[in-house]
Formats: sequence, structure tokens, C-alpha cells
Amino acid sequence: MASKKPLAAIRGFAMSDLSRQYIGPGWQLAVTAIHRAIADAGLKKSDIDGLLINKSPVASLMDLPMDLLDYAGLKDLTLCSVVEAEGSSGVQMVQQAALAVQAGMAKAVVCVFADAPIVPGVSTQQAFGMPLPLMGKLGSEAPTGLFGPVAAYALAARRYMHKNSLTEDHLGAVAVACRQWALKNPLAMMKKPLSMEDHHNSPYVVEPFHLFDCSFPVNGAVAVVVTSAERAADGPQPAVYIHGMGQGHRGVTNRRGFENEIEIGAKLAGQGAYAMAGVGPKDIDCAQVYDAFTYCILLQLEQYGFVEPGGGGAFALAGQTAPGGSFPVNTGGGQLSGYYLQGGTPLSEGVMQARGTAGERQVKHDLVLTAAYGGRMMYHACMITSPHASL
Amino acid sequence: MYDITRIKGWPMPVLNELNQPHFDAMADGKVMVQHCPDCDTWLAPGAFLCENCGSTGVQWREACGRGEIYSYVVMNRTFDPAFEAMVPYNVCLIELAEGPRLLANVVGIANSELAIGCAVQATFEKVGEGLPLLKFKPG
Ligand SMILES: [Zn+2]
Repeated sequence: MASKKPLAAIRGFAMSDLSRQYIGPGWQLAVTAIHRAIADAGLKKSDIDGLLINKSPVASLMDLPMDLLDYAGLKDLTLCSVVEAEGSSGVQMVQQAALAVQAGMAKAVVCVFADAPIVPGVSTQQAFGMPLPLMGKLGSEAPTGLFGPVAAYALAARRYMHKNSLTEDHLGAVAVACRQWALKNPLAMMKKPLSMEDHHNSPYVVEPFHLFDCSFPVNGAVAVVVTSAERAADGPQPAVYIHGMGQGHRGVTNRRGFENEIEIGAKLAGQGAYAMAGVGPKDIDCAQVYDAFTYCILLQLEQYGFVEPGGGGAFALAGQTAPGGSFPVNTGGGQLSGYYLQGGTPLSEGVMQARGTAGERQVKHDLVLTAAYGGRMMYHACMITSPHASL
Repeated sequence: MYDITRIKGWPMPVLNELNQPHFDAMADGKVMVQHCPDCDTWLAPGAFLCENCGSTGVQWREACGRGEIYSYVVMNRTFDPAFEAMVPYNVCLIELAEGPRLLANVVGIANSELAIGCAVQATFEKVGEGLPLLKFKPG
């Protein structure tokens, strides 16, 4: 492994309360998480000179406005921006904060994701159920009745399953593993054990996806404070050092010869992060990835190089991603059984694992890969972190 | 996200020069897609330029209407009243013989019989209050 200085580090981390009920607008949850993260970092509001905001792409700007700085009482910022790369923004914010810190544009940047999709009278299915241009440029989703990300991802999953001869058992294994992790996580929303039978018996939402192939949206917020590695080492909490970062964006090409369902930008993102950190997939101890749907974990395992192409299904079915398995994935229950806060979900668990504060679910964490995607897996960002200032 | 509208009571994208010829041609029973004359690449509608060679000389051209199922789903819930009576209904990604892929409903086959690779051909059905819509049927 290389021995390079880290790019930057996460010094503070916190979340708002999480709820399946309405507990206030996104901006209010964001302010709570920001203030808690600043306190967690052992800093004062006046120490913060950067703010990066990630709102859900389906939320209104009113829910998490650009002038969040005023709501949070932050003054004299030298960096303030909304990061918009859909679900990958959660990780991209931290990347941009690290770059800003390295360049001397800011000393302490707070990055926040907040969302409040669950409001009285609107189901989460309705909140996320609009036609999304996830299949290309034309917009044939509406006339054919393909609504929401569940449908777009189910279409991708079917192609991937066909290509690799996978069954619903392979998807179910992912859901079961995530639930096993969630049972060890006090923050997780899903508290009941889940068997393969429970998964198969749950109703279809969009075939081939059963209910338990889909994540559970919550209202909540996640915030981190990014500083230089040196400043993070002075904090009251264990520093989470950032050694490598990458992005990969491939768009969608809907014609013969292109299989966006199987070849995604995660590979590009991973290659960049591994090269920057001077490590490879075999060095990583655990992965926290965006798992809005079960299929997504299987494909990311392959694209980030943890298994060979097409090997994700067998790996999950053998229990390798579950507690006790050879490669822990989404150790907090992920979005499937923990909480769906878009890129904030892998980010939060990645920080807790790298800090060594994950309690009963703590795994070996010398190197943690944290990854997030957006759109129909069109935008990817990842980072490699550790509790060690040098690798 | 993009804006959707209703035409004859049916949910539709807002039409513009990049998609209108595709939908207009449905009234004549034609599958109109785009084609790049510079590199002979067929493109799904909505292309501003050729994604193969970058040419902006993309033209509308009629496809033969035959293809196969590239992937498919069955919607067991819907969020739009237009589809309520159809649940559970399929949405398929059809790979045309020329290469581009289109989203469409496949008719004349039970959802349980759908399969990737299944040969299909274009057919047209009125939806809503008489809007012709491209669908596919086995064959
Ligand atoms: Zn061309």
C-alpha cells in the first residue's frame, strides 16, 4: 500500500431524529443535524466557513433552500453551494469539501443531506411515484405507465438477472442480509427478522421486485464536518481519514451493444478511488453502498471489484455480505432495512464504522468503501476512508 | 423529472421537436425513430445528436416495427388513474431490429408468458379518449 497523506478527514458527524412520521420540514431536520455535527466535532458555529447542501432531487427547493446558512446561523462562509448529482451527492459533497479544504478555500466545511418525503396525506409511494426519465431521453415512461424508480430499477434488475441466471432467491438473500444487520442497529427502522420466505411472500410492487426489494424512506438528516487531516486529529472524536475519491458517470444509451443495467459508472468511480488511495478491492474490509433496491448491491459488488462480474448473486446467497460473512456490506441495514436517506445512508454508516463506534455491528474497519449513486445508477461517487492517518 | 401532460385523457410527455414526430406517426401506424445518415446509426427518439459519431444531422426515419423484448416488468400498482383498470400491466423495453430500444406495453400475451428475447412486432391501439399509441404484440 502507498503511504500518502490523506486528502482530508471527517471530524464531526451527526444525524437528526429519524422517523416514518412527519417531524418537520427538511430544513429543520438539516439545522438539527448541522448543529449536532458541529458540536460532535468540538467546534463552534463560528468555526464553520463552508456549507454544502444536498437536497433530494424529488423534494422542493423550499424544503431545503439555498439560504439554509441563515436558518442554521452560519456567518462569514467562504464556501456555500448546493451539490446536485442526485443520490451520489451525499458522497460528492464530502469529496468537494475535501477538495476545498485541500485548496485552502475553507477550513471546516459542514455537508448536509436532509429529506422529509413523508408528509400527512401523501404516501411515500406517491412521493416517489412520478414518471422519471430514467430510461433515456424520450419520455415514454408516462404513456406506457412506467412510474417511479421502483419500476425503472425493476426493468434493469430483470435484464441483469436474465444475463446472470439469477432468481428471486438472490435478491432475497440481499434483503435478508440487510435485515440481519439492521437488527443490530438501534437507528434502523426495520426491527423484525426477515426470512427468505417472508421476502418471497411479500407482495410484488413491480415484478421482479417484491416489497422487501425496496428501501424504506424516512424523514431525517445527516451532517458531517470535513476539515484537514491535521485539524481532524485534534477533535474529540476519532478522525475518519479520506484516502481516495472517485466518480463515474456514463449516462444511459438505449441501443444495441450497450447494457446500462450491467455496466455502470461505479467501475470508473472505484478505479479512480483505488488509484488515488493506492489500494485495491482486496484491501477493503467492508462496503457501505447505496441500496435503494436489492439488485443494486449485487451489481455494485461486481463493479467495485469485490467479486468477479456476474458473481454478486452467488456471493450474497452464500451469506458473504451478512453478519459473519467474509465481506460485510451495509452493516447498518442499508436503505433496505435501515433508513433511506439517499447518499446520507452509506455516508452515515461509513463514518460510524470507520470511527469504530458501530457497537454490536462493528466490523473490521481499517479500510471502508463508501459509495452512492443517483438517477437510474447513472451518477456514481465513492470514497475510501480509514481511522489511520496513513495507509 | 420532466413535465407530463394529458392528451385525450392520457398521460404523455410534453411534445417538442425531439419527440413529436414519434408520437404523431402513431396515428399513421408507423414507428418513427431517428437515424444518423453520417454513420448509419439508428437512435431512440429524443436524440439531439448522434450518440455514435456526434453528428447533429440526425433525421427522422421509419423503422420496420419488428424487434424483441430486451427487458420487462409487471406493474402491480399504479399512480395514475389512466392505468388503474389495467393493473397488473406490463411495461417492456423493446429492442427494435434496427437497434434502438423503446418502452412499450406488449399486448396479446399473458404477463406470465413474457420473456427476454421474445420476438414482437408493432401494433397500434387507441388509449384514453382515442389517442393512438404504439404497442407491440408477439410475432
Ligand atoms: Zn452518427
